[in-house]
Amino acid sequence: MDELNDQGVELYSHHGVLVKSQNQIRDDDSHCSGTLSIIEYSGIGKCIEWKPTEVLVDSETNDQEWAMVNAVGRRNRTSSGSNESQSRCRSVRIEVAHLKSFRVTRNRQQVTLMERDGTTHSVFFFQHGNADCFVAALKGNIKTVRSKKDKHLYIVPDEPESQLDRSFAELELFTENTTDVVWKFVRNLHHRPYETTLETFAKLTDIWLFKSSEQRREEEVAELLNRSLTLNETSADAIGEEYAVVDLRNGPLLPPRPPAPRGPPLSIEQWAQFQDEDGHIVEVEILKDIIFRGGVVPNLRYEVWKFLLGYFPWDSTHADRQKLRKQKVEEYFQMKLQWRSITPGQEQRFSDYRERKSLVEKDVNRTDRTLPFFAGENNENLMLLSDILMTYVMYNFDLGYVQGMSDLLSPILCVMTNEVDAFWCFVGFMDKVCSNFELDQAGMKQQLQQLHCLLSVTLPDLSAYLEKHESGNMFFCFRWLLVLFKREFSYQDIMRLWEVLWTDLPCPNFHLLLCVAVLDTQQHILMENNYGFTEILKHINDLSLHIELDSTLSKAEGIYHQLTSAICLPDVARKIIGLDPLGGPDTLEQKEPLQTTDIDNGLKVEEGPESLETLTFSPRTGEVAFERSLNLNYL
Amino acid sequence: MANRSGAQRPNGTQGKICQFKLVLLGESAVGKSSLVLRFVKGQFHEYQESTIGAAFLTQTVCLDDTTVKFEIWDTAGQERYHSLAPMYYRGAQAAIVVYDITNQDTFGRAKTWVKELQRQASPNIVIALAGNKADLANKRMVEHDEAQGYAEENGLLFMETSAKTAMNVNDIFLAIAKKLPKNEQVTGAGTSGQGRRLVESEGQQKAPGNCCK
Repeated sequence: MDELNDQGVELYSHHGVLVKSQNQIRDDDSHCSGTLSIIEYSGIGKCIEWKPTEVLVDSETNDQEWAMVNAVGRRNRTSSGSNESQSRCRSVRIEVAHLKSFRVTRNRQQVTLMERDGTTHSVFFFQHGNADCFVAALKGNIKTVRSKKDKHLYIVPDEPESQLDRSFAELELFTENTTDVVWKFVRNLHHRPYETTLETFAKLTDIWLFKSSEQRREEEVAELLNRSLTLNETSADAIGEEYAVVDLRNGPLLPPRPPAPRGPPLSIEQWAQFQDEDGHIVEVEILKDIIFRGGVVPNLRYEVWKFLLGYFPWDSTHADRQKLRKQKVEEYFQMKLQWRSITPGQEQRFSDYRERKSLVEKDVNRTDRTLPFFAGENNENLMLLSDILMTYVMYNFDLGYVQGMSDLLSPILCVMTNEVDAFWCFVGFMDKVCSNFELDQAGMKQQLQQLHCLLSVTLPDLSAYLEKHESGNMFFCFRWLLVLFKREFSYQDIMRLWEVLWTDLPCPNFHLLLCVAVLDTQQHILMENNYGFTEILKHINDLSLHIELDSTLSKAEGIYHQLTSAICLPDVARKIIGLDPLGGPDTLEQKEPLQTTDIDNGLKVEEGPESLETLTFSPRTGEVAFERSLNLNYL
Repeated sequence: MANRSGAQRPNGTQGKICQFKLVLLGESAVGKSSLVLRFVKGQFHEYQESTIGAAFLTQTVCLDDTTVKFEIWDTAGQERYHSLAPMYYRGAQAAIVVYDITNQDTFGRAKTWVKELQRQASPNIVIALAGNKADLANKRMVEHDEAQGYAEENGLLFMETSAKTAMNVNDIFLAIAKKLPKNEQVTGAGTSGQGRRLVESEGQQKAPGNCCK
């Protein structure tokens, strides 16, 4: 697509820069080495380019051997086999004009580039020296501003010319409601002259001197001003944490986040100690705590998961389990026989069954095919995956098969390898998450609302930001929740995460705190890039395989401790994480789930002609509308 | 907020920059994500994962003196997630309804999508019908002429495509780009604001042609 005639002028280059590609590497940590350069083309202008050092085999000329080697060694995220595996190291080109911000981390050895449309590129790792030269070169070509909130983040302001050059009048801060703004200012000035003046001008300077993006338009500045000048503002609405006024009447006061260390996984020796002679599992709570803190060593999963998923009761003996298993084997094959014995003629006249079968077939064929366990044509494990899902259809015909279920089964089958055990473990998992797959999406909606609630008490600034940017519905977390982060982590990590979550420790809905923890890590990037609805979704999608599991789990637990010891945590939030309600008057409005909170869920209609996009929510139909209205200012 | 990326920046191209929202709809596993991946990244994955929730991608094409930027929403196809679809097609200026030429049911489903779009999406939405997996012609269940006839009756663009071989993939997006209005008038926006923001600007940042196929 990018057919350029000119070779461009190289402005800068750095060898030995490693890339861990966005769409690759689910299960191994291989990097590609290459050269990172800044090149100026006469056509498109300056570009940041990374080219792999190793010679790539063209897809037309690849032979089977090469493809096979790669299929094992270097799986990529969404594909396997045929023509794709050899192209694991793709060149990267980013037009400098599209660059929105970059983050420099790990002793200045790592650089992450983010584009204006929300694309987050893979991390560039400078194995020789550090990224200083590159950053300096970049700064020599574009203007950057260091984020005040995230010292690793550098933002590219939009206008090359200095904001200060503009006169105050040109800014047209008060196009709509000058009088209101002025009167509010005067009123506040009267009560708190010193604070009001300082606060107002501090914000003005903050906004215009360090204007973080093109998207802050005049109206928004006016609105910000308005908010800062209005009395009775809740701290949750305060913009910019430096200015947030902590006020117990207005929101919960969170104590500092305590550290929550992770631990080693449950070992084979430890596991043996938790079983008595007969095979009862003793001191289950202590056992669960070990699993919560560090998971289970991989070769124990086969055993421990059966308990975690409720297939085997903790207090059963060896003998009990033997008996139970025999029963379950029988039960499984009985259900399997039911669908296996449907004749083609019956199938023809049984559309509900036919539909379910077709859905299973479609998804089985494309589930985790990059893993050796499921790779290749006529893979037997794929047959198992299909058989188990079809039998589940007979087990719970009303629910049937819904997209996402094959993702949930895949790691279980991989661990169990046995069809029957995998099925019953899957049933146990589905029991925990089946509300995600309901026809009316009620389970998902409720979770998104609960997530929003927890976010608003934990990260009020981000929560307010999201609401203001049509993302208060938290829809960008849909995939995280639907398949419990299956698409976000490597296979090894997802096994670890799930066994941790299956302990149900330290509280119900801990996975929502995990979401909050990831968002905590991303909040400055989202806010300082001034991302909107689409960019947020894209950025969150792009995080796939780039989330650090242990630190995120640790952060989530820290947040849990913060919330449990928070003063004035609203009951609605307390209930979500299993705390007894205080019963007192809540500072956050409590609303009945579903209907009203839906409206409260950030899906607010913005008023005025300056509004570009609006989201509306109709509780009656459950329909979310996303609209972009005509903005005359832009034409 | 909607205003993103370079389209509003004053240092754009000589010509116009138009930004359009395009949504892909169609039955599960017909190749929606594969078409987008082929169009945006030039890649194809034989076993492309199912889409959960939605994906958002952008791609720019050049038409004469106009740069057309597509904001592409790729959706989950399964009926269970149907209720989320209006969120994506509201305000969309273009849609590609995809079916699989080897599966008659998916063609029926495509017709349902077309009807829904005609009823509920922006009145001026440009709809293209894509008969994907054209490389599997030996398993064909939907005849080319049948689909073309249907498309003509309903005023749809129509092409048979193959994300695998790249056949007609860029072409269908380009055909849509050509059909989309590149001027500022907004006609009968109705309930869903059909907004497009256009910038005509001086400067020479991006040469037309660099993003053309």
